[in-house]
Amino acid sequence: MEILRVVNLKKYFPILAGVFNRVVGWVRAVDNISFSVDERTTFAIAGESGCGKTTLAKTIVGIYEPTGGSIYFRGIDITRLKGKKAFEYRRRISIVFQDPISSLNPRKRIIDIVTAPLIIHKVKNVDKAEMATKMLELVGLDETFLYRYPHELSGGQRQRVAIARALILNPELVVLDEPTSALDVSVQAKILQLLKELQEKFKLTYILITHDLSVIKYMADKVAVMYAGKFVELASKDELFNNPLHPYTKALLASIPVITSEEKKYVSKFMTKLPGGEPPRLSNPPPGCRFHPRCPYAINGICNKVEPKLQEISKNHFVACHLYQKLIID
Amino acid sequence: MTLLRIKDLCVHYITVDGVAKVLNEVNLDVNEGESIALVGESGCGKTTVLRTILGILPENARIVKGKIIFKGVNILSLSREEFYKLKGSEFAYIPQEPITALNLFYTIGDQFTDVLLLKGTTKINLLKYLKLKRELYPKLGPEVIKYLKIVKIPEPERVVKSYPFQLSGGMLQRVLIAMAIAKKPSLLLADEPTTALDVITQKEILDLLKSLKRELGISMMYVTHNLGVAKEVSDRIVVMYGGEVIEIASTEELLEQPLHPYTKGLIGAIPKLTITELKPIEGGVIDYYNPPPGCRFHPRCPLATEICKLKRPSLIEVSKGHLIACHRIKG
Repeated sequence: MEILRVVNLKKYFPILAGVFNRVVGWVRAVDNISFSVDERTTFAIAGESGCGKTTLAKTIVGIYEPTGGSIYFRGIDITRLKGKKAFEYRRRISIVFQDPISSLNPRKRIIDIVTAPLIIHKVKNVDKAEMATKMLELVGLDETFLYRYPHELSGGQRQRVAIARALILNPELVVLDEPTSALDVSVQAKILQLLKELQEKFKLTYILITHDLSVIKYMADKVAVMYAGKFVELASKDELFNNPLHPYTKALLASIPVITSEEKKYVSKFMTKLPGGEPPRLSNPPPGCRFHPRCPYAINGICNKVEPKLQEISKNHFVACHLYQKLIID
Repeated sequence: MTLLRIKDLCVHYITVDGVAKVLNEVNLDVNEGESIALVGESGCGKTTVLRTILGILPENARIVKGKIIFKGVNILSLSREEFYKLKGSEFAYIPQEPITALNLFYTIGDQFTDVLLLKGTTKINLLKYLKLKRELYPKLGPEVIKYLKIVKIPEPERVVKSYPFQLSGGMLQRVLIAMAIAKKPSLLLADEPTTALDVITQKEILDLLKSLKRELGISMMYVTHNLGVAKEVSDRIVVMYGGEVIEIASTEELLEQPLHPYTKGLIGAIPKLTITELKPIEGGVIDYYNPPPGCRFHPRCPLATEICKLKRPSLIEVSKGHLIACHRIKG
């Protein structure tokens, strides 16, 4: 069952200049993105910093208003909802932020942080302490944490509190924005296990945003690779890891610093020599395919002129690359 | 030949809550032309080791015990002037966050020539500095460009005139590496220089460091929490836990046949691309104000027995070049 469908979603930020704050350009952080997420699965979005993945997450949750496009949650376009109705939907979608130090208010106690959503959504007839204790227990903390402040907790414990807060309203969809990138590996392993257990227990759907492909390998069912505001590849996890098609996906896989010799053998299959360069500025992306200045296979006259569309190459495997579109024509 | 030897180094931090006994008898060697990786989780004391070598510990730190012997001289017993002179010519440092390491108000070229002009000086008269700079600036320009070319910066002439905020993170890190090697150091100390970068850029920087090490024969001490990165750059890995060195071995051997329970746990906790299984390490962070007696890892160790709680294991060589500090594992 489909829980979320995003259609042609756009989020542009204006660049202002001059005394009168004239709009001189746009930062196209999310540019025409479409995908759907099935119930009780994990949809992962991979990409480098500055590719627009966090903007996409915040737009889905409703922190940003989209510039264009629609977000259908259980068949209802939530971008068209206003006022009270929109508010109702907010409680069904929640988010865990990247950095638990800045996402928890340092002046509030853990009990107040965890139960804040209850107050915002005016949930009545609940015992705050009892509810908070229950939530903390779920994430592996005990009631001794209730009256402490965030600075007294370690990074892993803080992230557990953030997860408890995200789950207190019993949401259906949880957006995880780099939930472990600020944590050490041994702590990361525990948080990832916890997230998986909670998904099983509460029948949750996750949208996982991360730059770490090995985390995706552990967590995800479906993966999208994002580059400069657009999806370049979309496939099931197994398909993407066994048969990556887009040159950027291959470059990402080949760049991971791996440990074991099996992993080394695996990533060396995708070894591509990139000509160098950096991700483009989203205010001024290159014409045609946005990856063409860094792509070793770029075809002059096509890749730098025509923008490739996300097309289904094989069953449920979508790629936006002229190399494969040519194959279809042949 | 041993270039740098750290012997029984103990460093404590004095805070309002008491004395944090962070480094506890750290012993390690760096040989000439070798690169070692100092690996451990955050708060394990790896940055403290690096800062002690560079003499940039915060004011509340106290070196309680130990020696740092560089080319036969104990650098901890040198006077400030002598130490700065040695540091200026022999050590180079690549920081973690390139954007905070550079001054945003001066161009790259300006800051680069300062490195070449002022290395090893403790104090300088402003007038003398300005005079020196005016005389030598045109002469040093081509030299700066030469170094920027070594680190493969495209359009170095443009980069010299740019301000730090005009360049990307990967480019700034290249500039800092160029500054580091411009001093022709014999030891390069890097503190997680790629954590702020993306994987593709990270790979480029690691490849650059590897080729520089090969071509210039610099020894390197690379601090990181990422074992994959350590595998890329190092010949030997030193694993730290709770302010102690617990295992030292060649990179290959440490990753394929780790012996210490913590090293094993650390490797098992990393998500891999080829297997979908995770084995986290139980237990939490160490309390430096009251560190556990005996082996500092024993509260989290699956193999711990009575002796681990009583006696601190010393670092012993179990096979050639493979050292561990553990009562339970004997090679």
